[in-house]
Amino acid sequence: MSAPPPPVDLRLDCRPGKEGHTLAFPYTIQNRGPGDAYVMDRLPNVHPSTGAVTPGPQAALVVQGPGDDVTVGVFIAPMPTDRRVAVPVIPLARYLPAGGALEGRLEIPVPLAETSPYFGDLPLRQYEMVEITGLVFCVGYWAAGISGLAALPLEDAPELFTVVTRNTVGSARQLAQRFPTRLLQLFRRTDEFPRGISGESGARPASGEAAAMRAGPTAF
Amino acid sequence: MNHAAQHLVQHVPPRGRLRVMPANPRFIDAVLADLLAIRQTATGRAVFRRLRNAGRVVTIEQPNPPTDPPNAWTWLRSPHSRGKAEIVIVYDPADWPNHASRSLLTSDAILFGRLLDAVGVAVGAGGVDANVESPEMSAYLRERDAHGTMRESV
Repeated sequence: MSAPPPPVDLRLDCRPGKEGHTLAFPYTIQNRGPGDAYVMDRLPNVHPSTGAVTPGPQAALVVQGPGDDVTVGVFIAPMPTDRRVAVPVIPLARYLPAGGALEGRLEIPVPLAETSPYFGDLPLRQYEMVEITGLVFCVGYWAAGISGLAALPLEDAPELFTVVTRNTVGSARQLAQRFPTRLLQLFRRTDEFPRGISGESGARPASGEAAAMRAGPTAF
Repeated sequence: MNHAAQHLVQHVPPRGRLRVMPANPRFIDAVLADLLAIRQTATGRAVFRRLRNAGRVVTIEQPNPPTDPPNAWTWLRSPHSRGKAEIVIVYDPADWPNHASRSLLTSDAILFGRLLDAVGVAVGAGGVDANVESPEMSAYLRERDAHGTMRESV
């Protein structure tokens, strides 16, 4: 019987702000160890003719919930409930060793609109505008020590990895930090857009939440 | 209608119906080529028989709008009038193999998986497994490769 993997202790620190017509989420993730981790960074892009995989420019998901909040960030999108999808879309990840830290920055244009790699954009009239009470910034990760994990570096961007585990979706975890908002609205989709960020992949360690409790209202 | 299309129409199941939504000639020819590749295997013919016995309409469409990254899926479209919902397979052969995914399945294998999904939808059971590691998909890939029916990506 193999020993359990060393625990991962990540801390998310995000200082969001509004820059023109963009919400900017500069963030730092510290790994207080002792286990290593792979932190989700962005979706892969595929060259239409050569098929070469390169890092996408941005992997921001925007999903309404929990409640009147909106969850944004880099994590595994909720699987559709109205369709059976051929291929789950998994973000590329960066390696974060125990004791290390990484920085990232996510920019999302406003007005906010729900997005997912499983759904194309809708015509404007198929969105409804709703007021939101807070933004939950969320970053997914895998503990590097979990059984069966394989991380393959991209040929042209070796700092990014394609991560596969025996249950790639179910073994992912999330860091989250909430920011109360005022006067911010969301274009909410009116189709069968999935919003359930829950279950194993939705586990949210407390370190980010603790920081969220200290975060005051953010003037977006 | 080209030879491939004529051959396919000759084998359209009498009760269930399989149709390709007209998009552009390239899309239709590529879908028909995938259907014929599937039909050349016993595993594929068995899936067509299961769909025929289910008596459902299955429509194959191009993604509109497309997703980023490309994907393929099977879903139920509710009818405007009373009647059974239509099973819709959405994929574009030109998107496969898709190097962003963890498998490098060619377009015929992607379509075979979606046909398996359609069977699952038609019979109302979640027991049809269209994953690449499922017995039916594995059998299809083995048979296709053994018969040398694997073709270049479209």
